[in-house]
Amino acid sequence: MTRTPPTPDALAGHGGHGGPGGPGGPDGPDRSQAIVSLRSASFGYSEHVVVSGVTLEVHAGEVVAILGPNGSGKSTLVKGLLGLNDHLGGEVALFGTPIDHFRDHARLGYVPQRHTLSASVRATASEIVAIGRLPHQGWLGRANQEDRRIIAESLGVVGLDDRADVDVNTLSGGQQRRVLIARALAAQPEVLIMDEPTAGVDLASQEVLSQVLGKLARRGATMLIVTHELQAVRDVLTRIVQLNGGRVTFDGSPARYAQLQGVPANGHNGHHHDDDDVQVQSTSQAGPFDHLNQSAGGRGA
Amino acid sequence: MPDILTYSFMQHALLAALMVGLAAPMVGVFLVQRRLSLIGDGMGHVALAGVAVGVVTHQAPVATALVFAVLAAVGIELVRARGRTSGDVALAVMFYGGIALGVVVIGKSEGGSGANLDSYLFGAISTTTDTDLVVFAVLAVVVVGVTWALSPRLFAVANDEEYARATGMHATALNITLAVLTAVTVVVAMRVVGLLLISALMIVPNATAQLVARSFRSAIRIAVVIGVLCSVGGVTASFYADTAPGGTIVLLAIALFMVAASYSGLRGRIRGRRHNEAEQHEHEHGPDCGHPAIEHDRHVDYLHDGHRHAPHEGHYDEHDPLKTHDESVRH
Repeated sequence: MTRTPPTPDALAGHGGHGGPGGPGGPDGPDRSQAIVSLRSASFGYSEHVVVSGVTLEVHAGEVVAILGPNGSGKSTLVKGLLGLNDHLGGEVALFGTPIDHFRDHARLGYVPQRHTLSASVRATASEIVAIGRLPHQGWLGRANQEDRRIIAESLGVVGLDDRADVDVNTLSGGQQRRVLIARALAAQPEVLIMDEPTAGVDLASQEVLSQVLGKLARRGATMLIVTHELQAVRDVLTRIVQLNGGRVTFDGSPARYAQLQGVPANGHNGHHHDDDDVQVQSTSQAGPFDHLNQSAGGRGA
Repeated sequence: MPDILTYSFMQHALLAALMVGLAAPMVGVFLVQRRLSLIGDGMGHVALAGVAVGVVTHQAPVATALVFAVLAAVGIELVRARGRTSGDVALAVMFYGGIALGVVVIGKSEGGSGANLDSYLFGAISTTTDTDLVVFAVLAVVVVGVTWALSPRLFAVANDEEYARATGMHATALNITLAVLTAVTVVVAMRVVGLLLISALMIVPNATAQLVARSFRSAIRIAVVIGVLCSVGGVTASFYADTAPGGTIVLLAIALFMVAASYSGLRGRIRGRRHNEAEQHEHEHGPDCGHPAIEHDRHVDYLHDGHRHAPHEGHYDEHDPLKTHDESVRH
């Protein structure tokens, strides 16, 4: 199967991506179709191996949490996929292309782990999100009407359309995190790779972030979410991969994971988390972006 | 014609000032963004060694200074890209080495006095020749053009280098390019404001613009306007007041900065007095938060238990519940 070329609808993916084989289908998926395909892969820095022996395939429509304690190599794993550290062994393919030959970086939407977006100069939320459009613009190109529409829509998806022209330095930590998600969405990626999207933000922001992730999941977005706060993302997950000491120690469904942890499937995951009151709000409510993009298929619907 | 324009040396001086006033803040904004405000100063030190070598070997000092400054620029970025903690020290060694070499080499020149260096250290805008002017014009056009073309990417890399790399941008190449642009600007500006004051013209207009601008785009524009006003205004003022042009330009830029700083401080204080912050607020308002949104006076209030909450920076302001003019409820 040839890949679907990126289109405006690929903003956070849509229902069309969950093709044959289905999300996480165990029945021998077509390798060329996997978004991420690792075989005995290892990543690290210079000669220092941090994660090794990782065999993993992620398919369109999957929402995968990558869990593990600090230092387990979860960030190193996703940064390796993004080409931010060194690929030290095994096979790694992105969209069927070996990582060493992969150039179509805009297909991966990266939301880095950052506690703040504090800039040393003034920059509005839409100026930050506009960075996501650069891979689609030529060297002399500037944002055109279509780019501006996508920037506004991306801010709408994360519920910040009313703050588009606000200096990001004045936004709260959670709002800044959502600006980073919008920046990734503006690139119209086919998979979102998020590093600790909910860490270190206040309760109100965490609820909104959960809603945003829910909204993206309902649109069929493929997501790889590095986290140690399962609570905030558990309603959107289709799969959990756990790392420990640089190796995969669990790979399976959230239900199976909960079973092994000895808690109900929708229960607490046992990781450190003080916010037991967090209730992921109803995700059936229509977002402002939904009417703009009727083609967005709802997986939950 | 005003009498200042009847002198050809002043025509040259004003043209040179215009070019420097335009180019320096444009490059400088990215240095401010990368928190490298003093790097131009360091490159000026190294350029001095280039000037001295040019004087001693009877080459054009501008050309040798350009070679030295560009080599220093590439060296700086390579040291920084290696990310060693000793990088800071390596830069200090390079910068002081540059100025020391300049002083020693110039001492060996015929006539051998530091006086030769004065025109480069403090600027000698009125001695700009036709050839100088053409060289500066070409360099300034290259700096402005390349900076404009690359500005979205320079902004992206300075804002979040890791993200820029993840999207396939060549961050190191862009950083080296910015360093080279800085080096060229240093050389163009050394005859106008002098090597010791170059950094000021790259940084101070941007510091002023940051106080009054609302976005990165508007900040660049304001900084360029301030840069041109200060450099052309400073040269003009120095003609009538018989002062050193370089110093006059920089003092003018600093005066504008102080005016802007007082204005923004005053504005903050008045706004602080006028605005009424809502109590501890756990809920976050947004387009789909469930609270009716009331649009008025170019912003949105959310009706929350009878209070009107307007998002302001990281908190919410209480807005007057009785204010009803020119508004429409969106929900």
